[in-house]
This record gives sequence, C-alpha cells and structure tokens, in this order.
Amino acid sequence: MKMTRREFVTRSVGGATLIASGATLPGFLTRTALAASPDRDGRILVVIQLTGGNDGLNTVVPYRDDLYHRARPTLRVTDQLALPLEMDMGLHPDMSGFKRLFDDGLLSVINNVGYPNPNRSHFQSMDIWHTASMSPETADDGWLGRVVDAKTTPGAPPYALHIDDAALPLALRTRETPTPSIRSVEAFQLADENSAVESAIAAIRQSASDDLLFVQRLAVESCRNARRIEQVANDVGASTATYPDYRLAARLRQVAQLIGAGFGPRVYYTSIDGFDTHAQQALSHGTLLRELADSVAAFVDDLRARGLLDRVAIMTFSEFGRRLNENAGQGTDHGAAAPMFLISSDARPGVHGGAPDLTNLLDDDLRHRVDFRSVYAGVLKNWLQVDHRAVLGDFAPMRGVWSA
Amino acid sequence: MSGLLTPYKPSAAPWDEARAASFLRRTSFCPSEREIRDAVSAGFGATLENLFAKRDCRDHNELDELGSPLALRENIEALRGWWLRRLALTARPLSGRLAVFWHNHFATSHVKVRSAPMMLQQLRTIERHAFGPFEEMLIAISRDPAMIVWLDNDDNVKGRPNENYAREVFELFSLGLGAYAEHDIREGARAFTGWSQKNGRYRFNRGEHDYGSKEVLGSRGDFDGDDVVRIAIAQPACASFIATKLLREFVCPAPDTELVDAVAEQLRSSRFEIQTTLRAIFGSDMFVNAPRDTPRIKSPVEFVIGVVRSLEIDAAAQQLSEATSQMGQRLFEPPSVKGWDGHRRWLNSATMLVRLNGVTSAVKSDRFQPSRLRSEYDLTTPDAVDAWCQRVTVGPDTRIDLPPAPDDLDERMKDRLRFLLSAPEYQLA
Repeated sequence: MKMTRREFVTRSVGGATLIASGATLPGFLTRTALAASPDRDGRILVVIQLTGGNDGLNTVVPYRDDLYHRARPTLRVTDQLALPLEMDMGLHPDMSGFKRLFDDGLLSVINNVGYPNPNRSHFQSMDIWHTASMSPETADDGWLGRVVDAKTTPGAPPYALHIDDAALPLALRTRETPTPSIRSVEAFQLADENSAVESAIAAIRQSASDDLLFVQRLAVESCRNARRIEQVANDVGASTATYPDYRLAARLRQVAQLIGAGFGPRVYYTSIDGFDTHAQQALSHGTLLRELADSVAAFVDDLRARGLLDRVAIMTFSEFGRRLNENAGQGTDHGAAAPMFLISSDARPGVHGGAPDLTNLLDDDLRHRVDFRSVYAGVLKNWLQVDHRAVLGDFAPMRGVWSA
Repeated sequence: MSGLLTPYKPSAAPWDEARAASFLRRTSFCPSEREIRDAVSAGFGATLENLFAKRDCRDHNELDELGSPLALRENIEALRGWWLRRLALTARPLSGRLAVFWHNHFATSHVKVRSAPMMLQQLRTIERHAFGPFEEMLIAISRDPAMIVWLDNDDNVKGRPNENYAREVFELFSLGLGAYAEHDIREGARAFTGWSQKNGRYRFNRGEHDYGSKEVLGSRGDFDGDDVVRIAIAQPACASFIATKLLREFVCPAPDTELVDAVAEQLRSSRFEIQTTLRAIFGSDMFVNAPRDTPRIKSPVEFVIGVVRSLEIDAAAQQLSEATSQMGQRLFEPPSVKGWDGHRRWLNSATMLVRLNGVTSAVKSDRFQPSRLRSEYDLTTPDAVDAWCQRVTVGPDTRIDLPPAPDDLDERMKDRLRFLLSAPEYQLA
C-alpha cells in the first residue's frame, strides 16, 4: 500500500495508528502547542547522577570526628581545610561553589541516605536507586519513567529530557512514551531528507513483536523531538552567561537555555562519571567535586539572572558511598550510605539526617538512617507536586526538608 | 545432547538463499550478495566450518600488521578505526563478532588505562582465546596488564586487599550477581594480591602476595588467583552465566531456562570450549531452520559493519569509528566494567537519529557504487534491483510500505536501500 504524507496525516487524526497522533502534526501546529504550553510556569527538577559511588565522607566531611581522621590517614580532609556547614560537618575544599550556595540559603545536605541490606555492586545498586525497588530486575520502568508515563499527554512536549553522553538511565525508562535522550542540542538534528522515511515508519500498521514496536515508536518519537528541539534551538539564541569549562557545565548551560525558551520538560537528567575511586583518590575526587560544585553554581547564577531560580530544584545522588577505611592504594572501596544534595529556594537549607555515626558500622560501612525513597517522595510531593504514592508506594516524604 | 540442539539437516529443510542469508546475518554481519551466493554453493556443512576457519584473507592480514605501530603512537582513535576496518574486511566475521563480544564481557576502558599498546595487547589476548577454553581466557585476562590497571589490582596487596578485581571476576566475568557472597569477594581479593604489572608486562610481586589460607565459595586453601578462577568456573552458576551471554549475543535477547540449560550442559561437557559450544548452537535445527521470533537489536558495530559489508562500501577507518561512537559504542571505551547493556539499551532518541541519518549519508556517499554492484551481480531490471536490495538488508520480511521509486536503476537502488535500512526490521538480527 502506497501512501503520501498528506494522506497519512488525514487518516491518523482519528487516532487509528499505534503511535500517538501528535507524531505527524504539521510543524505549525506543533509550534502553536509549544507557545501555549501550560508548563511555562511549571516547576522543574534537574537530577545530577554521580556515577561510580561518590565518597560521601570526603564530600560532606565530619571533620571533628577522630574516627574519621584515623580511618583516612592519607585521604582525610583536615579541619583547617573543610568548608564548614553546620554540626561540625564541612564540604570538601574543592566545593567552594556549593559553600557559596549554602551561604545563600540554597543548599540542603541530606546525610546518611541509603536503603536496607546495601548492595555493593555498582550496577545492582544503581538499578535500585533508578527503580526505587529492592528487586530492580523485576521492574520494567524507572521511578522518573513512572512519572513520565503518568504525566505525558499525547502531542505534548516530552515531560522529561535526558541530556548526556551516557546512555539513557534506567531511572527514565518508561513503559509508554520513550524519554528523549540527547547529547546536546546541536547534535540532535534530523537530516532533511528523512521526513519521507519518518512517514513510512510511522505508517507501519502492525508490528510482529514488542521489539519491533519499540523500534518503530522510538524512531517516530525521535524524529518528532528532533524537529521540536530544532525549533526551540532557533528561538533561544546564544547564551551569554559565564560557565566554567567542564562537560557538566556545558550541559547545564543548555538546560538553562531550554528552560528559558519555554521548552516543555519538567525533569532534566544528566550525570558526571568517575567517582569509582579505588586508587589514588585524592586528585581525581577533588577534580570531580570541583566540576560538580562550580558547574552547578554557575547554573544557579544563570537561572537567577533569567528569573527562573524559583522554578528549578536540583538533586544529586550516587549509587553508594565508600568504605570508612581507606585502602592500601590511597583509595576507597565500595560502601553504603552517603549524602545527597538538594539545591532549591523551597528547601530548608542546612544538614538534614544527622552526622554520620562512625562508631556503629555495618560490615565496615555507614548505616543508612534515611531511605532514599523518602527523599524521592519529598521531591515528588513537595516539589513536582505529583502523587508520590503512585510512583513509590508507601514511602512518606522525609520531614523537615521542604518549606511547604 | 538435549533435543533443543538437534542438528539441522538440509535434507529436511533445504539450505537455500533465504536460510543462508539469515544464518550469516546472525553468525556474522549483514552479508553481501557474494557471501550469500558462496554460502549457498558451498553447502551448509562447509559454511558452518568456514566460520571457525583460522586463516583470514590477505586484505585483513596486511591491515592486521599495522596494529602495533599504530598502538605505539598512542593513538587510540586510530587503533579503534583499525579494529573496525579489520571487521569490515575480514573473511572470518564470526571471529570479529566474538572479539567484540569478549571485549564487552571483559569491558576495559582506555579512559583509565591510558595506554594504546596495553589495550591492543588485551585485544590480542581476547582474540587468541576467543574460541578456546574459557578457563584459559579468564586466567590470561587476570594477568592482562590493561585489566590490572583498569581494576586497580596493582594496589591489591597483602594486608590491605583491593576488592575491585575479585568482585568483577565473580559478578561480571564468571558467575553473576547472587551466586557468591561479600565474604567470597574479600577472600578472593586476597588470592589476587601481588598480581601486578610493570611497564605493560605482568609481574607477580611475591612480597605483596598473601600466602595465607582463604575460604572462597565453600573451598578452603592457600589459593592464588588461578585457583580462584578454577573454583569460580566449577560453580554451577558459571556455565549458565556464560551460556546466557552467548545466547544473548547470537540467538535471542531473553533466552528461556530450557535453552540456557542445554547450552550450559554443552559448555560443561566440552570443558567450556567456546568453539564446540558455538558449533552446536549454530549447527542446530533450532538456529538454522526455526530461528526464534524474538530477534536481538543490533549493536552499533553490527549495524555499521553490516551496512558497509552488505553494500560493499569501502568506508574509511575514521568514518567507521565516528559512526559507531555516535551510536553509543566507542570500542576500547565501554562505559563501565559492565560493558554495554545491549539490546533495547542501544537505542534512544539520540542514537536512533544517528542510525537514521547515518543510513542516508551512507547511500549518498560516493563510496557507495550502485552501477558497479549492478554490473557485478547483473541487476538490469527494476525487479532485480528491488530483490537485491531486499536480500542484502532485511530479507523478505518487512512491513514498511515503500513509496514509488525512481526509474533510473542506480537512483532506484539508493532510494530503496534508504527505506529498507531505516525499517524497524533492519535494527534487529
């Protein structure tokens, strides 16, 4: 059966195709929908994943605790160098960007975050954080993917956007609409000749298997989002804000541009890799923490200048912390509980969840006192204002973190 | 032998063009017309044996010699292109598939190793052992300098073991999660103490080795790393773990327990001889005659190398490297020790666009020569061109509706291929 693009558009308006009918809306309609998007005023969450297992004890340092200093003969951050927060805890000296956010009343630390029976495999533990399930192998979607599926309306701009060099994380995996993943706005463009191919793929009526259907939907969604992002990219123009020269900073700059242009997503997700510091940790860990802190601080400055700071919250997490005792290679092995950061004008600044208890370890690692799912629950309920129970089950939001 | 691996008999279901093409798409890369014709005329038995033949073609071997000089220049990008060019040229595509498979299994990244000669040395080790007994490969990998740097075994010393290597030996290289305890990792790490490297050569550092007694996976003794490898491979979980990975690479994304058990049994009975096991899978009726209807999503390397081999495009090393990297598979730089997840994880909106755009630029490129192909294979009518396009891409099954094609036969070929290579079916094998 041969079909022209026009015929296909006419026929699919009734929703007869397998794909959401917005897939083939002509460009002018997409633009109108974009301009009228109610999400222009919505709250936005930016998630930054610290891949590899961040050493929480050298990030938020218990610098007055003798046990810490004894366990870390070469790696310890001395009390002269730590950037003090409160309760005798201070930031790693390379995190002056976060110290400034703290002094501005924007930074919250949530300490001792983890889950029962900590798993020390990078991949299993990351999957647990991504699915918010203790048996991630049985989960078909990620915790944010569940939000995306609940909140996506056909034809609307994507609810979440992954902007990274890494592959799409399990956290954003959906059952329905695939979450778009881009390396950068510039890299995400469709060759002009491909609109005929796009129509032909969209017109396929049945697919033999789930995998074929998956590929078909993804191909159509990708083409559609490429056209959307190209449109937005034309609107935003260049950014004049000052960012440091890091990859994380470059991605956050684009996030600020996309938010500023009124592009739809309520969730942005990116990552910084390299935290698996088994050996010679001191140099690499400081470099990573500086990239994180300086990039986020520049992002916050940019958002403030654009008048967007009230609409954006930033959350960081890692799959686990690291062992209290350093190893022979001046590094640290896989551990358990660790701090998370929240940056938002709506969160209560300070250190939540108490100081790490170095006297009461579990297999040489920090015990968790805050379940990460209660942090997620707070972000969903108090910040994004979505039903956290539908996403996470019975986890109540951690108290005292959010102002509302 | 399990009924699942009953040998295929051409007398019952003929070894024709369609079966041969499907067989090659799954054991090799997407084949050219020449490869399909040769397989049909050679017959099934010879085609199967040919997969395991040692000697490669001259183009491949000449290129092969350039590996060391490229590595010595510390140019990992050039080395990546060199590897991909070899895959594009090889007459032993299964060896090529297996090298990438084991690279993904023992995933080591140049980003941390920072030595092109060490990465090449590891690739050579993998290629040498790819078809052989798994134990020999895992023992060789445990002494591989790039692996030692990658998982910090240089820092694994008596008294203060570094668990990184021992953990991955169990979790990712032999057993899989759930088949060992944290205790086994801590004890296993002691067995690998002192296994270090100096200037890219393995060195056993006697003074740093812990000669004491260890308890690993229920056995006790003054084990070293080789003992731990043997103990791990003797666990029931190991055969199933390796069987599952081989099946995911060559058969289907989620093999059922019955099939895994059959292949695991084959592994055990051949003392983990990979070649024997693959021969049993590829020679089975299940594989040749009744392929599973749940194909795998092609990796970027399979996708890109398949396009250039089947369309006989003489692509430059740099183009191959760029294309596969942008599709999410930068050889020598897997994202973590877990390797690339594969199947659906290959595809997201970014990598999908690269595949679609890549197809367009491949058929438009002047390295693709429709008129040469038409005269080589005697394609003189629109029907002959259409049939050829279908044969070297998705085979007879595609649900994509092809729009009217140009009358000019060269243009027709380009147009048809652009749609067929973009069809959802082409992403699967």
